Amino acid sequence: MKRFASGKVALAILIASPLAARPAVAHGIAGARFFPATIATDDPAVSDELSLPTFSSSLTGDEPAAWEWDVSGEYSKRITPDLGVSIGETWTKLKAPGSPAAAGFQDLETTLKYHLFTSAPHEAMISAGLVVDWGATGASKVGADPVTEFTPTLYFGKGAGDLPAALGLLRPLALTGVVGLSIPEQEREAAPGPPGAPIPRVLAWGVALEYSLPYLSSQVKDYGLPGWAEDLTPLIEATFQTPLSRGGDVRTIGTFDPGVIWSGQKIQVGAEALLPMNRRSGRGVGFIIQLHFFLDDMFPHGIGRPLLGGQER
Amino acid sequence: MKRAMLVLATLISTSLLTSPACAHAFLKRAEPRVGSSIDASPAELRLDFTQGLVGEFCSISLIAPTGAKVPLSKPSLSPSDSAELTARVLQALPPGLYRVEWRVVSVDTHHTQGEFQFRIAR
Repeated sequence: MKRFASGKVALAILIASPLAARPAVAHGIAGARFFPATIATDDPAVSDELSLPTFSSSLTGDEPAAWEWDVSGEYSKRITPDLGVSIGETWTKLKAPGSPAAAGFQDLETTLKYHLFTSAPHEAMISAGLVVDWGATGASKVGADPVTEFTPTLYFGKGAGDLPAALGLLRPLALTGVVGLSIPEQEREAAPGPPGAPIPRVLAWGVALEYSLPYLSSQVKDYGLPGWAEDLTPLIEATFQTPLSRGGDVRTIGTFDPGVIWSGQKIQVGAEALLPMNRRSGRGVGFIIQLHFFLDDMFPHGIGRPLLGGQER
Repeated sequence: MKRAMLVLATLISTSLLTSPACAHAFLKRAEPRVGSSIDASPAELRLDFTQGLVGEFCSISLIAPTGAKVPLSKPSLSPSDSAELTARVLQALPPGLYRVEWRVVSVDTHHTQGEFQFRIAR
């Protein structure tokens, strides 16, 4: 009984403390809004999570086009409630007509991400991070870059829950997105003799427009949807890469990715089609699927909590 | 590869088999229902969440069309279901649009909050 009582006291202190009284952000929550972990673009939350595996299949924009299959995983860990690191790796297989298949790992990617701001009433969240694509850690035969690239990135999310009640059916909408500038560690490709080709800086940006059926059912109107349907978030993601400088081709490439995410209490499954925006971005329709684990909910007292500073912001 | 598959299988089974009480609590059902129109003043507000709650740290407010708070009893958890939070409405409510605001803490200390409306049509 004494142990139970002291546990309740500890819980009360935790909840009453200024730190815990701030809005919770782990798991992508701002007020009544839950931002699911999007597939093609990173969401604004700093969380303990694991995306494994993510599998995609598409035709490249090369001439001739090659089939590309990617299998990737990413593990994210909070150091403090607001600061997290991620490490991701992708295995790629390429098969061009008339050529033998090539397979290997892409460059290792790490992300340092800091949560800057959450507004519960406005369902808004902003984070900033640094993505590093570590050059020469992957296989050049599958396109891994020999040059390290640093990408300062801004992440944002905004739910439409603060719209007037008259626009109730629009309130489940949310927009998340990323904007980053990829800066190579050197200005030109390494080459013997004369200087190599210039390596452009690239604006990497993307958005995800979501319509949350969980939000519709719990905040706007309960239409009596079946339980599985109440956990769905239809969405369309779009990702773009725009070279910015140093001559060469500056045309944007990217994809539009309509799909759906099912969010359970501890895992999430998502599937999207990959529609190239132009010929250089690819051919035909590809697809991407992902299994995602909310480690903060699976192991709230173990590996799912920040290394320092408690469970919640 | 075998080891990776084993890790993945372990994670999936862990996510399915570990206690469902360890997660954020979201509103699953409410009575009166979210966005509904009812004919008579409700005797109570009943909110059913996806996870067990810590009753001491949960609150429900009912806001009248005038913006005033409607008197409610202290919210309490169902003895048979710690995910069900109930508050009695202490006065008969006239017709109008009412807003329910809730804020809860799940058993693993995650905070969540939300609100919804219902209408008394009578």
